[in-house]
Amino acid sequence: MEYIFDNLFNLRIDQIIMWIIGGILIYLAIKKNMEPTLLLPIGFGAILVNLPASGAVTQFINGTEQEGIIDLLFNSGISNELFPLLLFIGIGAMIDFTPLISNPKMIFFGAAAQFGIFITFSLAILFGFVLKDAASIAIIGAADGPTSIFVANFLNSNYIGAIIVAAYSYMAVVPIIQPPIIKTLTTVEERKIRMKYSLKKVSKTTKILFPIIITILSGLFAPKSVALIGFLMFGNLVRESGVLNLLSQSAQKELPNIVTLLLGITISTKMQAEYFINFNTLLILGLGLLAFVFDTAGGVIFGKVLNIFLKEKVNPMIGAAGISAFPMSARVVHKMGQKEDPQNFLLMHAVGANVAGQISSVLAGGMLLSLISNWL
Amino acid sequence: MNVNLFIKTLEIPVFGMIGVFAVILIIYVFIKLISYIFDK
Repeated sequence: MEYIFDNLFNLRIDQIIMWIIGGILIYLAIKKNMEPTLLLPIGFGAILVNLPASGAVTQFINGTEQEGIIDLLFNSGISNELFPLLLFIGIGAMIDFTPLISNPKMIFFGAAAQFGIFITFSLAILFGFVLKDAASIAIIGAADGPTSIFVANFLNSNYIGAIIVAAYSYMAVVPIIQPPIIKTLTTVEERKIRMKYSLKKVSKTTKILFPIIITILSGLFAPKSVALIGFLMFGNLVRESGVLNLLSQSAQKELPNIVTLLLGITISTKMQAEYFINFNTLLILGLGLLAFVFDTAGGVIFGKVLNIFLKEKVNPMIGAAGISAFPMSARVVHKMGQKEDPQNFLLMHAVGANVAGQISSVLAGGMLLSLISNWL
Repeated sequence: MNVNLFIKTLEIPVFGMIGVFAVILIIYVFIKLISYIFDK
């Protein structure tokens, strides 16, 4: 009978802590509806991989390696960047870029709201992280799960588990993180600024050319971002072409559903207690939060600076929607605008900035990869 | 605190941010251009 209890004595306290963390993630997913598609599988996975001698992850038994299914999935779907790229086809197919094409100056808000990525990079270096980990932590500020996975994995970061948990958790709480920062940085008068919106007609040709041109330009000027941008724009081209409706529907529903189902539980292999429970995990969670804060601040301050020069003022809150968390940050800005002035409709401007954030965050990730590759 | 590396690597965020704005500016010009041609 002894063999039944053998494994029980292999259980460590750090593994039990990971069960609790997994339980908290499952609770947040179910009770608080926080990014449930990712946090629930990650939470369950955190329990699964932290069972003593878990057969779900690779084990060395009598000197022989026995590959676990979750490690197999990680090696086949994440370490080669397949899952995040497939997810990007789905995201591209879901996004309508019309608000951005009809009001292209919103794209600059997307760029400004990447400020948090770069400031967090320097902060992470200051806290003693090596370059590859600092860049991977900084990319939490992309507010974009697949980009975070892509960059952290590309750089082979030791903290990919904590980075992914931070990225998805903070995206879910954008409506809590952003309002106090926006309020602090703007006056009531600024929040009341109305912006005219005249929906310009965007032709089908423009909508089809848009993803092709973005891909070419990104490839030429930020080549490290071209895999992500390319797949994002491919999904969008499938959507806008009008001749691939069934594929577009699959790209919007079945594909991201299947990939997401596997992605969360696969990521959990990096949540084994020996990798996850350390002081650096807490530091990463703190830096990730700062990345979101500085992203928001960067966008809002950019709007305020623009107003110094513009005759027709912009509502600086729009800058906060430049982060890639779509569509949460656009909704936050719209709601805050309506709170100050119920007749103020900022939604379309905010959505324009928000989809620009999607492109800019990937570009920022590619830019960071290009720049640090000279240092590695 | 790794102040030395922090100072040494300051060029990365500076050039990174400039780079993002530069590429975005190019994209902006092209969006305006295709809109001008096809959505007049």
